Amino acid sequence: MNLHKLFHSIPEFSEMTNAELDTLERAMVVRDHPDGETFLCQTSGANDLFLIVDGEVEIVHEESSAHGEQIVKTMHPGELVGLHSLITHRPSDVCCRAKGKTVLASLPLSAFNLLYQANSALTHHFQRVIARQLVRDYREVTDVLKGMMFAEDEQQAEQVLSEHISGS
Amino acid sequence: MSIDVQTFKSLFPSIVKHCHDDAGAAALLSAVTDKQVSAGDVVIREGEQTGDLFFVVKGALTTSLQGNNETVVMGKVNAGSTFCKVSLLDPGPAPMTVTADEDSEILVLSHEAFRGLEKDYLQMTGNMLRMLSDDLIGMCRSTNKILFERSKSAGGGDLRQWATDTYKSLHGEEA
Repeated sequence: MNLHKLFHSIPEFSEMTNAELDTLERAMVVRDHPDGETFLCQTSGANDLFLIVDGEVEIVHEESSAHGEQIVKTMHPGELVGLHSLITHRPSDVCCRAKGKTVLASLPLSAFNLLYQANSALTHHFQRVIARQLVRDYREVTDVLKGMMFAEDEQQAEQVLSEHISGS
Repeated sequence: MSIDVQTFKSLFPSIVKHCHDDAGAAALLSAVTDKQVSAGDVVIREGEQTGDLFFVVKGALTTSLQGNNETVVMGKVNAGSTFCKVSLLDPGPAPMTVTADEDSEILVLSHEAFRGLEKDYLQMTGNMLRMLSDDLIGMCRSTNKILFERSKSAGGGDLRQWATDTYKSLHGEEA
């Protein structure tokens, strides 16, 4: 898929002008990732921000249970991967791997830092894109806690937790 | 406005430090609106659509969440605290209900007013966006870490109470 066309389909990017989207597109590298390829590892820091162009990405936690890894969630085209690690400069809490053949556009750390830290109209619009994804993440985790708090019984609370951890 | 720039700076240092200078702080202060609330008034209700960030200038308020048959008190917000940070970043449902415990004074920064500052105070609004984003990441990472840990010890105690305690400790005063 054309990256520019994808940007236009994502509400988070709607504030960016065509010129800004052109600049962002030029800074990104689009690459195919085969099924099962891990492109961000748990305990290592992210070196790129990834935008899912086509296909899906599984977010995996390797130590969630005695049974081994757990798929926390599956992400879809238009979603950004690697944000938390990039912004905090800390190792990722999860692994990210391609589910089926997946196309990702990556933005190198240096370009990300420039866009996230600088102050211009372009970077401000980019920061808003980032903020909106973070708000989505925040609402997701608080909804899980609320679901557990107000579960009818312990069994239902366990189910809410289990569904979150297993990405159901 | 009921308070001057110096009072604004001393009450909300963690936010006003991002204003870069007094002109920025004055601009931010001029963008907010005053709101007087009486004891018992609901300032914002959980789930209500909002894009406002609230600064508590005077008084005390309680944050709570509503279940089907119960209201759970999550925490207190006092003078010098803010709430609904997440709404300023991306307007949407308010994360909690906030009720005044006593007559209180609040400053309200709407999403639109914040956006209006971007033209002349890009550095300040950029700093605030990054600060609020950093706060969200911190809360998300902490919550996910705790959820992962808890899932490994399934069956260990009252999970509903555990979720309530976790929510209070991580988000109770950060509505």
